[in-house]
Amino acid sequence: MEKLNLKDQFLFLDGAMGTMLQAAGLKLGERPETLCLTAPKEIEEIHKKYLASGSQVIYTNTFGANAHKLEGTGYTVEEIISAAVGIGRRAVEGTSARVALDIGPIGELLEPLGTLSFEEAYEVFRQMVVAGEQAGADLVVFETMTDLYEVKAAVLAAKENSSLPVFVTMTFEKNGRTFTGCTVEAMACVLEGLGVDAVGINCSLGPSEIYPLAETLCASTRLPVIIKANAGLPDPVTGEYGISPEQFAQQLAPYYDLGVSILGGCCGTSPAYIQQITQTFAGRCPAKREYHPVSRICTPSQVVSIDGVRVIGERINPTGKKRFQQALREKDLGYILERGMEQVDAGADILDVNVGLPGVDEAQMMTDTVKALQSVISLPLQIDSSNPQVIEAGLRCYNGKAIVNSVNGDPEVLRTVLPIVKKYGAAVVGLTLDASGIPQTAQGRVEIAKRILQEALSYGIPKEDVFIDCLTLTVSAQQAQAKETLAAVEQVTKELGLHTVLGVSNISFGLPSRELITGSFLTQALYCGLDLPIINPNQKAIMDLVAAYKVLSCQDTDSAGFIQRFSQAQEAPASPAPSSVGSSMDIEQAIAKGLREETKRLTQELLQSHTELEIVNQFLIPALDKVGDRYERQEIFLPQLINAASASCEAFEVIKDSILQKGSSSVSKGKIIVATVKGDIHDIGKNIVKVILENYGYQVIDLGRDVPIEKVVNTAVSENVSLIGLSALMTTTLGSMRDTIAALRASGHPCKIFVGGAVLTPEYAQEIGADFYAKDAKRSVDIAKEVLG
Amino acid sequence: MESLCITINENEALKYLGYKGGEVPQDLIQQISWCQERIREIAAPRWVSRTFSLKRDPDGALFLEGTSFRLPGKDIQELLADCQECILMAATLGSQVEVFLRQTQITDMGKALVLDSCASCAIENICDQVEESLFKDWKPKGLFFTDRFSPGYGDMPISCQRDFCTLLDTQRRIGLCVSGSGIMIPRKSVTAVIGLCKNPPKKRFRGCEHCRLFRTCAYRKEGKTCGKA
Repeated sequence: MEKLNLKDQFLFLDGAMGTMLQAAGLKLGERPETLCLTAPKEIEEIHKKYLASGSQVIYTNTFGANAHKLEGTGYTVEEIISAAVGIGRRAVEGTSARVALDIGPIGELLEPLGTLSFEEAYEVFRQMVVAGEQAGADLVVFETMTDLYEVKAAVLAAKENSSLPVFVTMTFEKNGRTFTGCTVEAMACVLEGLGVDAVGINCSLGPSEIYPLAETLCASTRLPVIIKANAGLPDPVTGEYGISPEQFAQQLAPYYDLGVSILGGCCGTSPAYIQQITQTFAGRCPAKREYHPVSRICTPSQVVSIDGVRVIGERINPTGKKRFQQALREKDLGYILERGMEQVDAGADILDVNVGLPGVDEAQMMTDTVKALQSVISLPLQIDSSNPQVIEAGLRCYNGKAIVNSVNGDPEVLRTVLPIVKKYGAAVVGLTLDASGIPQTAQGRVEIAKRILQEALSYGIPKEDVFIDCLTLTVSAQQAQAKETLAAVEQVTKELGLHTVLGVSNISFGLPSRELITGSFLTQALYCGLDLPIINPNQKAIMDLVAAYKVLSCQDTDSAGFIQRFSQAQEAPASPAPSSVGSSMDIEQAIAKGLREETKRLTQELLQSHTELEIVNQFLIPALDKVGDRYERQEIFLPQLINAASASCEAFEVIKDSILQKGSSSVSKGKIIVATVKGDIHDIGKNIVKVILENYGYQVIDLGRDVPIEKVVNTAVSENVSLIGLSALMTTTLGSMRDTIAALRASGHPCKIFVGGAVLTPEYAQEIGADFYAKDAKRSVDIAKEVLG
Repeated sequence: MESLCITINENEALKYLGYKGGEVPQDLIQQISWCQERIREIAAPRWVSRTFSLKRDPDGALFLEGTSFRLPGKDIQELLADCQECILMAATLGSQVEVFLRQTQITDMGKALVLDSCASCAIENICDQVEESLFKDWKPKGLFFTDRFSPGYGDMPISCQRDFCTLLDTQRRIGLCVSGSGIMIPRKSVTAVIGLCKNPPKKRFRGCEHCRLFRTCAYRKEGKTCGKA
């Protein structure tokens, strides 16, 4: 079959299937896809009506024909899809029209909001695409999508398991976002990178309401643009769609100037609407679109354009940080997330993620870290590794368009990493070094930059996605190199027209007053054109310099950002009450009142005269016991208990640091696993238990929420953990708790299990084989003391 | 319907936080009001509703006309005993509140706890407002509303949420899904049924948090209620 011409001519799609089925008498609550087997003639008739009205592509009746939605219908995905595509093929017989395998959302939200994993979603789509191609579909359409992560799983499934063209349309609200917060620009940015054939908007709104969104979309992508609008907005009472076929076509007419080239209808439309569209656009060619390439990276909700200085935060990196290394070894994602949130609050625009450490499975850790970070942070990430497997692991599960840090001029490196960058549509940092080392002159580095650019272009990576790192060398060791680096930054910016990245902090290593050298170098580099400095955003003085540079270079219009930075910010009331300066409070009072800073300071003071273990046993635990007693006597309630525990956490951080510095033995009283069981996502209770247990000196391995049974068992065995806490909040997930306990018992691993959660009772805990029922967080401490001492 | 402005019932939030009387710390009150502001800023409340005629089979089982769905349980039969029609509704605060809750759990667990409770109050408040707005349409027709009844109340299983969401097409219309294990996502969401009846239903018990004696009530301190609020 001839290749689809999406550039120079219009392509007309069909209109609504659901609306036509309802008109034919489909009952609410029944699965429309099963009609492909029970009423194939009627479906074929609908397709034929659309073809007669001018549709060149018909969508099969398979919107919800996925394994999840078909469960319980008695039909398999393959049965429905092969029947549906067969009907489509019969309908288009004798015409040049194409049959599109239509695929809608799975119907269950993906992680992190939901419990369906990215990998499971991929599998659901893979099954549909394979069945569709086998049955003879000409292309795959993913439509009415609201979650960009789900779309990514879908597109990867289609591209890795078929050779069919892929169209994607997502559904937006008037504010330009999907229900999950994805913007039009982010959709364009990610899908163009993933190599789909056309991208667009369908459903939710009528042509007039979609127009401004389509404008944004056309300006954000080189790809052909699809619009499949509803017949206006539904009447809030009757649910019927308002506008006539003529009005629909009239409202679509202005889309011509935008250069939209693929048109059809969604809810409420019928063949009459398609006929009006084809008449309106007949005999014309799509208007030419002008696209101005922009360097952009994104998450679904946040696009970062590199049209000024954008700070890359460097703190998620174990190099030279003992506490971070410990967190990696203990798979303590909570610690890493804190480092992430800290940098968000400090004003970073992008976060670098490096989790490489000998003895740690870096690819797995990268996947876990990326997933954890994107569950709470909406800034784009930079995947930092030299290992191609790790880079691919990070890019694959990343929800958005990331930066890869890095490749270099070594042909072998370029050959292995650039195809991965291209496949996942990422941007890439090229280091100006190669197998023979770092050139000592600016010119030598620029030459390597040119080579990297050429190679990237040859793989189809656009120029705007190539960033160059001219490499900072330590000025105390190679003083003359600072000037070369700056010169190289300037040349790459001006002569090659590329954005530059630079790890700035390294410049001052080994010198006193490091911040002064780092800051001066940063300012000069910015002046030379550096726009992606990799720095520690927690250093206020350094971030101040960036803010000042943005004013002087006209990037901060009217100095608004600068003024805001230096005016008194309205602070939210934090949990602990504000500390009264200069008070003679002791640590017990500080903890009782939940004063974090005070507790931290007092712990540092105590370390002058006491060992770490003494502080834990003589100060922290007695203080918490008192708070716990007051909680049990109902003199205080949960928020106050948690605030005290949070304050005590600060003390523990100081103690852990001190131990790592001295290399003295750990204060851990034993390991405890906590997990919210498979299927359940209510984790606030489990998190409370974790905070409290940590404050009694236990090392808590937090497996998170929706934890697979085998993960609990495997961790218990491999980490040799003898106390396990399970939490479930819903009656529907208690079964999963029972199964987890059964699996732990069946493994033969000796351990005690305590359970908690709103719907549990002591009787039920006993019935499902738990050793203890913890009615609250305080009780979990008593249990831990009993089991571990 | 005019846009919804969320108001958090302080007493209700305190109840969720396990408050059983005694002094309420001032900073907690401040936090609740801060949470209200943030939730107003971040939440994107959306709701859908649809009216169905009720059909009964001889043994009293309730069906929604035009669908294959049965409203299960004795409690709902009792509640809707005088009704010929009912309204199914679903409402959600949207997914951004969930993200903010997770962020807060990382930076400040105590605050996250308060925020979680306030978000629960917020979705209840949205439901109250939806109910009020719906009632404006029905009152002129001489009809009254029964209590709002949600899956998980009484003997109606929580698994019904899935059917409610399917019937109301909540995924497409308000972005509300049900997970494999029956949890609504976004979490701060509610589905409910309200009966339409010709006579005013019996006065109902709305809960202690709506009583002005909430903070000092002697019954509450013993974990009991007077049953009159």
